[in-house]
This record gives sequence, C-alpha cells and structure tokens, in this order.
Amino acid sequence: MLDGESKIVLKAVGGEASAFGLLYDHYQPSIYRFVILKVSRREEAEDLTHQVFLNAWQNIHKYKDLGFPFSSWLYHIARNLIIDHYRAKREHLNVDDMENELMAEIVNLPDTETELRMEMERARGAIKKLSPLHQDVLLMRFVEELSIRETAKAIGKSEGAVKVLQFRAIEKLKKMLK
Amino acid sequence: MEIQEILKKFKQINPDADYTKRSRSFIVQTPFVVAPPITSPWRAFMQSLQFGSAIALVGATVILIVGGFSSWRALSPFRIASLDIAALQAEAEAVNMQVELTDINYRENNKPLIANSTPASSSAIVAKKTVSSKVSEAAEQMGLSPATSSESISIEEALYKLAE
Repeated sequence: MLDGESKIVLKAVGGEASAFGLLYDHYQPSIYRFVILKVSRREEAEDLTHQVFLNAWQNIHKYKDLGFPFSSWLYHIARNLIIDHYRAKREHLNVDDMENELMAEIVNLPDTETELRMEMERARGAIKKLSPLHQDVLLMRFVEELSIRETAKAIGKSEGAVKVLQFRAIEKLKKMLK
Repeated sequence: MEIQEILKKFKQINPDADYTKRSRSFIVQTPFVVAPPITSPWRAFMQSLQFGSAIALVGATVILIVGGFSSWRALSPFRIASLDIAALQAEAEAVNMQVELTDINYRENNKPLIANSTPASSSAIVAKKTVSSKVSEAAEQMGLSPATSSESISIEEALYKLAE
C-alpha cells in the first residue's frame, strides 16, 4: 500500500491527474505482472494493463474508500477485463504461442539461473492448468503478496473462501509438479 | 525449492519502460470524467418531470388500491349482488319465516305412571319419559328457553337467537 494512500486517492477522486499518476506509478508493475501471467502475451498484457488504468481514471469519481487498498479495486477491474478478453478472443487463441512469449519474458529475467528458469517454466505451465479463481488467488497472494483481506476484496469472496482456495491451489500445484 | 518461493520469483517480471511512459502520459492527459451539472433549464425541467411522473404514478396506484372498490361499485354497470347490503336486507325481510318452537317439557316432575298400564307399555312410557328428560336436559344445557307455545318471531330475532 502506498504511503498516505487515502489522501492521494481522495485527490485523484477529486480530479487531480498528478495524484492518479502516483497511483499509476505504484501499482502499474503489479497489475502488468498479474495480467501477463494470465494472458501470457506481452502485447495483450500491455493493452489490458493500459485499459485497466484508463477505466480506473474514467470511473474514479465513483470510487468510495471503504477501508480497502486501492489495489483491490484495480485487480477487480483487471480480472473483469481479462474475462472479457478471453470471451472475445476464444476462437483465436494459440496456446503454444502464448507460452513461448511468456517463457521469453522469464528467460530474459536478470539474475535467474537455468535451474530456476526451468522451475519457473514448469510452475507457470502448472498454474495455467488451474481454474481461473485458483490462479488469481495464487498470483495475488504469492506473486504480488497481497493480504488475504485485499485478495478477498479483489476477487469478491470472503476471507475464509480465499484461505480455502489458496490451500487447494497449492495442493493441486504440488501434485502437478511432483 | 518450495512452490511459494518459485512463485515469488515471478515478481521480477516488469513492464517495458517505454510502454509505461507512453501509457502513463496518455492516461493522465485524458480529461477527468464528472457528472454533468444541471446548467440548462430544459435539462432541469426534464429531470423534474421524471421525478414528478414517478410521484404521480405512485399516487395513482395508491388511490386505486384504497378507493378502488367503492369507485367500482358506483361506476360499474355490473352490480355484484353479494356486495349490495341494502338489497340483501330487503330480501331477507321479505322471507316469511316463522319459527315454531315446539313445546319442550324440560322440567319433568315425577308424574305418576298410568295405573293400568301393562308392563310393556309402562316400560315404553318410562323409556319415553327417559328420552324426553334427556332431551330436556340437553336443551337446558344449550340454553334454550322453555317454550310453552309456538310463536312466530321476526327475522332479526331468529337470527339473533341462532347466533347465540
């Protein structure tokens, strides 16, 4: 969470573009990571990430601070856009191309050893086989390190449900990676 | 390596710097969206019309529900007989109903039996007296007043007694 986030969000809700720019700088990498791990293609991830923040800026006057981090709202927008993206692009998906692009991203990571890259590729392939909800919980909790409360708000479930989803996702992942 | 640790390694993935710069610039330059203020009198009138129409519709519905039946009765050519109380009353009064209360001898004194009665007839008389005394007792328990003669009463009295 950003320091003084409540005040920054309040200014952004009031129309201050510079305040929204601060929120963009802080959350854009996380949203991009979340999106690319879901769609696996860089161009589509960039388009969707851009759309997430554009939608957020155009609808921020409706945003109400209910005590949750601003990121929960952004992840909520991102999830909905990804669902719409899959609905629209279902006929044109080529899974192999998608995976190659993401693997290229991983290969180009600095300071990653070969063994780690291989493990990451296997993990990424296994995550893709999970249900969308399990994927979201794993990515939010372990990649973006959101709290259970933030994750629950982002996916629209209770905190108890998030714990159960997380447990089941980890168990399934372990079985697939054995 | 634990799965959680592997997943944390994905945090190293970051967006392209040029893309980030272009995207940010485009978004913050996009005009801020606010609800349009009511500046035009026509707009204000249309908004009030919407509200007024809603209120009028609700009021009409309430009037229909509360006063609907009486209006219907006055205006409708089809009179429902069961709802016409005055006609019902006149009809009831026209019915010539005479209620005869038969003589109920409920206080049976110990009347002597007929001396020359045969055992069979005396037992029949006793049975008859027993039955009539039981009927009298039952009538007394029901609160029926002992009628000594048949009488005709009005419909209201008859209905009143029956209602009791």
